[in-house]
Amino acid sequence: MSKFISNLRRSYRLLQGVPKFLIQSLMVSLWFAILTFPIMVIQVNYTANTVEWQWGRLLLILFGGFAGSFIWFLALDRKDNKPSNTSGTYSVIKGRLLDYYASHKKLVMAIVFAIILLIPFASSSYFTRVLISAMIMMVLGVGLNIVVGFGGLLNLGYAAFYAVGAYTYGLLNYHFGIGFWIALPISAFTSVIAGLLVALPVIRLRGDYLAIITLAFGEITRIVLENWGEFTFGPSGIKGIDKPGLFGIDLSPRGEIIYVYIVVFLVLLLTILISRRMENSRIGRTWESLRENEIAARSMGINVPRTKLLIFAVGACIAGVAGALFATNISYINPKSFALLESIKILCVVVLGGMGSIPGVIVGSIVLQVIPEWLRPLQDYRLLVFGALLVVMMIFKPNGLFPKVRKSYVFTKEESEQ
Amino acid sequence: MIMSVENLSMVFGGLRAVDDVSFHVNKGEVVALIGPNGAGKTTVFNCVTGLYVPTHGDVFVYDNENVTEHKLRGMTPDQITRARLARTFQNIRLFDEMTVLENVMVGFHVKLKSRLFDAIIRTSLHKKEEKSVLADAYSVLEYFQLEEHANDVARSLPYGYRRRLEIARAYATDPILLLLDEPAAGLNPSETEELSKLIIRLQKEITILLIEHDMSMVMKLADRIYVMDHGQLLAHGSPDEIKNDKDVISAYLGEPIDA
Repeated sequence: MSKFISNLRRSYRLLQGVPKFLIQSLMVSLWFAILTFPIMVIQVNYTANTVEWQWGRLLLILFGGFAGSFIWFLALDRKDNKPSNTSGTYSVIKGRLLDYYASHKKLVMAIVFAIILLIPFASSSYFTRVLISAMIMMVLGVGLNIVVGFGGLLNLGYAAFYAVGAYTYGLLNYHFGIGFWIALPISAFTSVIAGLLVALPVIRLRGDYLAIITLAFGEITRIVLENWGEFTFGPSGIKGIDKPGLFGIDLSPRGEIIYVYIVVFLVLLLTILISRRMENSRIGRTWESLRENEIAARSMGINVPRTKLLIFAVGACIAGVAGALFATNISYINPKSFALLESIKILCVVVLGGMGSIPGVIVGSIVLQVIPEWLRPLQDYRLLVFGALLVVMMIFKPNGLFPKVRKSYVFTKEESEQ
Repeated sequence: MIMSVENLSMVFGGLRAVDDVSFHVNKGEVVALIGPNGAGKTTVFNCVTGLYVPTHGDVFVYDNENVTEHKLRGMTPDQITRARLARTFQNIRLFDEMTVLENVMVGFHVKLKSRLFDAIIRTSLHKKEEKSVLADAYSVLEYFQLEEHANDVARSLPYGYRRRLEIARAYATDPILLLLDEPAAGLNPSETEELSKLIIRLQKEITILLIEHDMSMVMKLADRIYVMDHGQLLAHGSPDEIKNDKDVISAYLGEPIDA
């Protein structure tokens, strides 16, 4: 017996030389194999009434589990003992690029815009459509970023305002043949009204409670759209919504797509510009102070209910514009496009990219709108990938892919005396 | 007189947190409100600044410069700030993720007029105000010796600086009366000393009402002291009078056995 214990001790000592996470991943893979044993390895063949043992799968699980968890622990370890990366070619190149960007901001921007505008002429219509949907997602992301990122008001029913905008244009176009350019401001306006209607009763709520109420509002909107058949055409939706007009010029189908692409891009630019300007202003500062500490914000003379209404209205306005863009792009809307999952997706764009950060919204939209297109074969697993991605993000980049960089003010005495 | 509190009572369910308290603050004074923990001092502050609506009683503020009188009962906290009352909090409430400069810029909110529309199209009003608020906020930071940290996130400041920033932010709202809720709590002796100097400097411009437990600081700074216990006013007078007041001593130290 004592020999057995000493043997155990010796083997334990031997194990201590091995990196800790090697043992950990071995444990994980073993545990995983035991856990999945009944469903993966034991298979009953109902026709032959026999039990088949799939030992190959067991090996696969063991190997896969071991490799997966090994990479996981390695990554965790690297994250915790991150070497100070001041040297190394990667960071040098990055630094130089940033310097170049800082000194030639306008040139870089112009080149980037030119490339973006040229993409649809060079790519397939399919890819252009994917980019359009990504840019609409960016517009939505910028809008929700104002509500969640700046205002700190967790809104889980954002797709409802999106729906209001889309249906406003859809219905106006269907019944009265009103064109896109006239309907666009009307869509924004009706969304603002919807935003204010939701905001009025909930301005006293915060955090979780606000999230629940907005979630409910989002679902109510979808259910109304599905069931109020005479008004919204129910689940079958509205077909044949017009593309935006271009001074009455008839465009080829391909030209139409390129035109929509350019329109959406310009709207996106405008939205980003407005968001930036609002952020660095007296009102933008009140939004952030509200997020940081409501009581302190009140005692700084900020009218909190009015500020919250404003945040909701601005967010809804942008969603309404995005809705009209969506309707004109797809030419067909139905309630399914504005389900809870859409709200969650927009929220994911904001959180994944980094709260309060516009580059974050852009990257987040590409990650969540373009990459899934390439993963079409994995459609069924999209939610699984969504969840896994968010878990990985929370651990390795808790502040998002592109965390917000605070504006720092350069102050010189001369400036003030001018 | 700059502020008078008249028969103020605040009842939470069965608890009379503040019970018929009346006092006043004269222009240019430093008045201290002291008392054991749970005496109702912070509740008085919250009633005055509109976070609570008092059950009974009224608070009046007299702005001699603008010859206005405000009855604070029924006013919201932001309206009260516009009536030129500013406060700090016992547990510091900064805008943690914003920079030190931005914290003070928020303090200037009531002084500015530009609206959202001005910011979107960059009107001359917006540009002018942004420029002036930047300069003003920076000079406030200089006044409070925080200018080195202007672009640091408020969360990253050491504790003593955070206290000072909160006072700076309140100062930015251009108050006639500044209410400080335990400004020396958690400060070390040298920081407390600095704070005293700061309050002496501030007193030349602003009237100060102070809640504080640090007695040496209170005795040094205050012109008059009000003592509260169990929601009621126990005594009031000059620091020397309070030091020798029997009721005050027994409230703090307990009754002598033979009394």
